[in-house]
Amino acid sequence: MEFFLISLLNGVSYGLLLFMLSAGLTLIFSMMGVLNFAHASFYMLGAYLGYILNGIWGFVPALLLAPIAVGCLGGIFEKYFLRRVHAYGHVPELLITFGLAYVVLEVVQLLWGRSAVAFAPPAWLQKPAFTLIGGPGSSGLQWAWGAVTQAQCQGDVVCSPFPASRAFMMAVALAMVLSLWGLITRTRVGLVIQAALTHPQAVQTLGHNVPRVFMWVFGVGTGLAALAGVIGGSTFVTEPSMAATVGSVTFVVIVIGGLGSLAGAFWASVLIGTVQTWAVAVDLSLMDMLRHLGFSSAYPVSSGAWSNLTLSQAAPILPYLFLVLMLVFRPKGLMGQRED
Amino acid sequence: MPRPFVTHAQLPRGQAKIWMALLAAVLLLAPWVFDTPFAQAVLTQVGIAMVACLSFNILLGQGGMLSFGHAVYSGLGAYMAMHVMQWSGSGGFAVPISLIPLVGGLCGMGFAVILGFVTTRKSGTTLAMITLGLAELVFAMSLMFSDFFGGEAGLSGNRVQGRPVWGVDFKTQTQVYFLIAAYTWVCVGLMYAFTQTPLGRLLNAVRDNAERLSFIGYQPQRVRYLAFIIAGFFAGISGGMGVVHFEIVTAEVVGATRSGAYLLFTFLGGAGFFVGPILGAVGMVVSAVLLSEWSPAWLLYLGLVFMGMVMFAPGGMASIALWHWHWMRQAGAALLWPWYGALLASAAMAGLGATSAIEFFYHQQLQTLGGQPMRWLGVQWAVHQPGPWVAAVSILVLGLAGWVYCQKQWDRVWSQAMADTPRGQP
Amino acid sequence: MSVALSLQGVHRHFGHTLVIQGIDLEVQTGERVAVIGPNGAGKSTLFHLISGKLKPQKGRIELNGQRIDGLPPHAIHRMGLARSFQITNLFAAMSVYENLRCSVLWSLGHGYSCWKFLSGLKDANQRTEALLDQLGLGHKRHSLAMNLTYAEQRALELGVTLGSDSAVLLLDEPTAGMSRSETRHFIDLIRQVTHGKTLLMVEHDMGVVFELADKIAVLAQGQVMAFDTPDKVRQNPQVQSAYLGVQAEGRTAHA
Repeated sequence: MEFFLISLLNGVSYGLLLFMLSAGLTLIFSMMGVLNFAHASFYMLGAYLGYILNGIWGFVPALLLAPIAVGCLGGIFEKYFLRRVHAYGHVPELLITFGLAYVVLEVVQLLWGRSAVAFAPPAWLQKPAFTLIGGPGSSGLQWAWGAVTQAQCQGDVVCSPFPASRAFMMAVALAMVLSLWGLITRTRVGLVIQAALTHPQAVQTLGHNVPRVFMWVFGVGTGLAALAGVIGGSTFVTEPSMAATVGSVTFVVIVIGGLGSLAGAFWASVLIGTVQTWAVAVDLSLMDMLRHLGFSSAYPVSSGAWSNLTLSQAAPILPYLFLVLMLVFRPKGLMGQRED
Repeated sequence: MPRPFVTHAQLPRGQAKIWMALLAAVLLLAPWVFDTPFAQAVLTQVGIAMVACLSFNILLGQGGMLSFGHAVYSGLGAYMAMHVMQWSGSGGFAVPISLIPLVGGLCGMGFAVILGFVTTRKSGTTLAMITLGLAELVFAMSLMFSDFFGGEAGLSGNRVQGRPVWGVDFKTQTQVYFLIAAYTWVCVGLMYAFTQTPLGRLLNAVRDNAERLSFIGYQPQRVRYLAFIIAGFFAGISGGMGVVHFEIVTAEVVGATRSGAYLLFTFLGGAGFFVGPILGAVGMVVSAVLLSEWSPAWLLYLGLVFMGMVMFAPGGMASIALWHWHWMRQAGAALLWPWYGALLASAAMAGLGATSAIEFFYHQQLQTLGGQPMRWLGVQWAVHQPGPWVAAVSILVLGLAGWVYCQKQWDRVWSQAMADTPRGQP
Repeated sequence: MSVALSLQGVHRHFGHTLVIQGIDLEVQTGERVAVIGPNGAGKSTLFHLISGKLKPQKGRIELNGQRIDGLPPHAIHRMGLARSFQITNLFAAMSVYENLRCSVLWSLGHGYSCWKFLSGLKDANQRTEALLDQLGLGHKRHSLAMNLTYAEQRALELGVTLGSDSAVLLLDEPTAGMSRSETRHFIDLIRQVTHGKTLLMVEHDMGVVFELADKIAVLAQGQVMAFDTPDKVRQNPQVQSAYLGVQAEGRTAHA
């Protein structure tokens, strides 16, 4: 039971991290039509910049300044590079972000090396936020704030701490969700964004300063990715391959959620995050699961690749499997309105 | 709105035959010019890359389909070809090595029939996303199913098997080269011929306006699907050729890096021209084999050149060549030659300054080279002192300033020449 | 006379907006019908419904007695219907020649073939040349469609529609945006090339309408207000007040 709860919380927190990334990407794609291949690169830049700033001024300043700095870089990129290729169409726009991803990766490796850097959350986030106490020995499931003494965890009692850094990740992500929601539904700018998410050309014809809006959207989108980077980089790992790992899953999320839908991106992030986290932890093979469900094999099943494959081994392909299935059966995604 | 991919007028039949003859001559003579096994290995790789990039451009330049997973078809074709080669070598039905690329092609085509159906039902961004998803899926599977994919070490085989036919046993690089060259020549010819068929033209139409195509009686999905299958066939041939040359396949052949390389270099060469991918393929092999040896910053250079190309010359190297061709035939072009030379010199200076600075920086950062003195362009530099840096940056700035100035002069002289040219002249 | 195109009780709405609210129409073979009406009456939507771009939510559409509502555009085209677009809808990065050649391929039976060369298709190339002559675009045969003047693009638009030699033609505002002289020339062209075909044409230019049409269908608020010969329609009081203006009596068709 504790395992299930902790897994669920881990999955949701990872999903919320994915949402911080996919929200920015959705905004950029919906309003500008640009599929920003370098979005995860801004995530990585946020992590590395957060690492540097953390070393100079501490975690909270890093958390505030790194996204702003990266957002500025994003705005500069939009104004001086992306805008120049806008006239050539969507393919060149995508390609320039593709090139940027290469360049950022090389620069990061040049400046900070190819192995991971020691970016750890501050001491006050390294303790457990709360601990679940349970197991066959105790009566029911209990929980306690903070850490729990060794004495309480002996014998049959299982203590599952939930790290504060993860809880912090969820808190920041939820705060972001709420402020984004508030911005979009309650302000005039938000109204423009809502309209542009589904009908970008109409918004242009209504006379909004489109290039400036684009610059801001790109800056804010990449800033959000950088915020996710500071938190993700400190909680998980900060290394050059972090962009590639999280980048493709982000694309999966926005497509499954529906291109152009922030709500869809939210639910898809949580779904994918939960499924992936949970699947990695399940060490059952296909055969084991079928047996659990009551099927026993009538034929002698040879020990081939399929039967012995455990869910945890298959976990990496699950998001892509979902993606392909979704695109085949429901290309609009869970909540999308646009199919282009 | 300007479009990067345009259908060019058909070459007259005679001209196409001349180009093919020229290609044959180049392919036949190249190994005499580059006669070391290493050089011939590079040539072989160029041939393999040419077929791969041309097959990719059937989708991108001709069909307007952006695929992030083309390596799936060349890679799966390669895996199947390797299995057949292994099976043939260990007592199964003896398949001649010269047919292994064809095996790869048929398997690539088979996978394209299966996977292409779901991929091409949509177009545009959705299609690109499906190809991305399938590519990641296949790559992730390659690490899961080690029976088929050979796990971390991949699969290796031996092309020297069976009895030699007419003395050819593929022991030497030269023999391998000629096999690859033959396949390359045939594939280039077939792919060019494809562009001159009804389906080839319909593919261009689907790229330009899929909606209108449906109103003149064709199903856009069907056109895309058929083109996808044909592209998969040639991609598979490229994979099979790779198996014969390298004698090993690893998961990298279906990976995102390789798919990205096809995209990058086809675009660099010029996706809007038939010959673009050929130029791109040469670039691909040259940078992977030679540039990577020459500088640790090669990926950075590649990324920067690519970004520059997208911004300033989205038609690729082929479009730059075409521009030169048009300019040089222009009346009044003679006046521009000095400025052309000046522009080239400025660009060279800027390039020198930039690459020097980058090389210095790399040398400083990379621990492995830190202890050694920096050798660059035959001179030793004291990189830890500001002198070389100042020099590099100054040259860069001078070069850029020179470029801007010469650009203005060029425009001035050019518009003068245009104004002076009597009407009606080219 | 047989019925080439018939619409029975066709409805189409977008969300809460009712665009087509019950259209009944019968066009005889060889007839030339002009569809007129104020903006927002649903003329383009009507064409989209007939040609297969949209599906009607209620009603039937029949082409030569066969049901076509709900079929995809390529299927309807293959049954003998071709349409042009109000906003030029060409293959922008292909030459005039290639645009026209693509439009003739299906009707000449070449399908999706990749085993013959385009240069060897005598029938396709001859037909393309004939079209070029008719349209007067021969001198621009190698120009890319996106580099043509507006009038030339409209001519090419018409050409792509005619390529298949379909018996039923839908022309959506073919002379939109043209000057007087261009319109004059274009109308002569349309009259020539649509000889013997069934024509349904959306037009705003009353001069063109009264000159070309055998019958006029007046569309207003998604319904057919009147469907009759030009004279009768001109005298219809409803049409006069809604669309033509009360001085319609004194109007002459001016070119």
